Amino acid sequence: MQSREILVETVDLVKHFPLSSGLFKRVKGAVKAVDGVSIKVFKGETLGLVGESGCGKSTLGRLIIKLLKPTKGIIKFDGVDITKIPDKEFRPYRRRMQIIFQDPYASLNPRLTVSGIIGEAFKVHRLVHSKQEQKERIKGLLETVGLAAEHADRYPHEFSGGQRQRIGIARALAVNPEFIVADEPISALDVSIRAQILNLMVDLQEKFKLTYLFIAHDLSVIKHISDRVAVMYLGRIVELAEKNELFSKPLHPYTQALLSSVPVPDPELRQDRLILKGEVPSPINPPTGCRFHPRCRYAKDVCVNVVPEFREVLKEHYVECHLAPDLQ
Amino acid sequence: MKESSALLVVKDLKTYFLTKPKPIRAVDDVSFSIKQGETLGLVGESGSGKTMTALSILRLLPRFAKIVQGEILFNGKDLVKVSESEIREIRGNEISMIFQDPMTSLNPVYNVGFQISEAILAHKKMLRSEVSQRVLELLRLVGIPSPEKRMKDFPHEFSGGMRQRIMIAMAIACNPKLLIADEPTTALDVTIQAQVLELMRDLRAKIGTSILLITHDLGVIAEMCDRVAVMYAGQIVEYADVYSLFKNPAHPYTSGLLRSLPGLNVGLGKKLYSIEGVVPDMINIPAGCRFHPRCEKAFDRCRVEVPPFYNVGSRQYARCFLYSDLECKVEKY
Repeated sequence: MQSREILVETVDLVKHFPLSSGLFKRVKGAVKAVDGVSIKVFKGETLGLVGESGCGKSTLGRLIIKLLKPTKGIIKFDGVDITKIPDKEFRPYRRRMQIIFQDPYASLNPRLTVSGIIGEAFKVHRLVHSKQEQKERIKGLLETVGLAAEHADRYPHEFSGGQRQRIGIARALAVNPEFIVADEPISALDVSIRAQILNLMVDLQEKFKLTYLFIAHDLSVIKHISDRVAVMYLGRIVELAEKNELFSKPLHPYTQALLSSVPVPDPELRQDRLILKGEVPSPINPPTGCRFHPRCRYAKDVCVNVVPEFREVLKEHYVECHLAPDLQ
Repeated sequence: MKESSALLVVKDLKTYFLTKPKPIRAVDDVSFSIKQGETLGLVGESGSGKTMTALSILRLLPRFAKIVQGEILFNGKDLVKVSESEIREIRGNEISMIFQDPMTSLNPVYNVGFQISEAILAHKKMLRSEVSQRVLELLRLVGIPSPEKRMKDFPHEFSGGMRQRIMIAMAIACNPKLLIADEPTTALDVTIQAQVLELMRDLRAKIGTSILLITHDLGVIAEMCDRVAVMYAGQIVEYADVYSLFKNPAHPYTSGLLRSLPGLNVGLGKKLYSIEGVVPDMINIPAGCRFHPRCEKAFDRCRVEVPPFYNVGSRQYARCFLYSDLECKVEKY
């Protein structure tokens, strides 16, 4: 990160999914999927977003590129507040931000050929002017992601999971985006295929100067690909730091337990783990004070009553914990 | 490996899907053994035949799949040959299984207490009061809080991790000698996975069950297993104790897998080692060594001849011609 120019920024972003029931669909509370997230993504970096299922990481990813409407808060892209601008004015921004989905089986239209899937983006954004040009660009894109030109006329079902994910990546790249949200792009793939896709994503980042928000639950993948890492728990970012800093000096007790529970592929490193008690509470009624306190082994009275502040404890190392500086 | 000490010996097992025009060789010549109290890991990618191997042991195969060859000796009894009623006696009693997805493997219309007691009553004659005592004891053992209340609850009232605990309670209800765990933690989050793995380790220490642990996660293997069998396209390609496997992987597939894991590689910066190509289609299995199209070290012989096992270390076997000069070809291990 040489130039620390901010590409994407969220301010106190909130997304509540209302729960309604009964004849008149009366709202009876809400799933607080994202509950006050302020993050910055710098140009050219990979920000890793890690957390367990249901913590709101995918919702956050979708909010940032406006696939979901936030309940509250602001999203800025390249300095411009894009939260409330009308669709028509938003379109040029849509071209600059793309997403790669987790499930390469569900995210490609089975009734379109590969060139149809990729070509759709050209049509929507009027990026090509002739059929010949479109054909050339699709061919180029397929080669960029490691497929062959003759794959253009095939349908998604003719491809393996890894190849489909390559198609998903080609579709995202079609509009020359600057920012890509990668929502668990490799977790549905076989172990021996994951490295191929990760390498491809790293190559593309260098080639096209991309900025990634990389969402995953697998810590080793996050550690490999990210520059900075944000840890999410129950709708909030609880820790954010440069990758090596976070993995060597986790300050939040949740991060500590999360890092400790990953099985290490080396039998000589079998060790006693910090095993968290209990489970993630429901995001409908998150605990008072610090959301992690019912599972935290250090919890004190203040944690039960007061919501901790997300603050810079060490240089560029943010933690949302009352006790953080003393927990190294 | 002396067979006398082994609880389960699988010999030359072949399980095929009898499709037309030619069968799909889902499990092709698989042999391994598990000793009393031992945990054997079966690792491989999707479609490599891990689950079919497990289902063959319990004879729970889908309709078109048949065991076409081989022996499965459990306590000296060949499970391939025993009658349907005999295998029913063994299933859930001496050998039980935990499935990957705890949501779909529990019955949604019965409470969990009833489902666990069903597993007990299938094999033991007990009074109703004794059974509910036992159910409570099992729920306590797998760490379900306030079991008296929870045993009346239905599966949907439990979280994923809790459901997997209930599956485990059901599986150990009759103190099985062998527990087959098919991806028991794949559907769970890491912190819950750590809880369930710890529970399995505890139970192994308390009841002394042998475990056949099927997973694609090499981290889980390293954490839990004594010995490991690596499967690729229906065959075991490497069979070794867990320390040798992770320290000196012999088969190019095993070493490729280990090198491609993020977090372990060194020196290459952001580039990971990757095994090129795709997992083979089981209908058109490559000739010769099944891994040769993806293998960096493949030579002519690999393309035509099926490699046998070579004894590459004290208790390490690899199905690979790289070791053919070691003069240690083995028919059986």
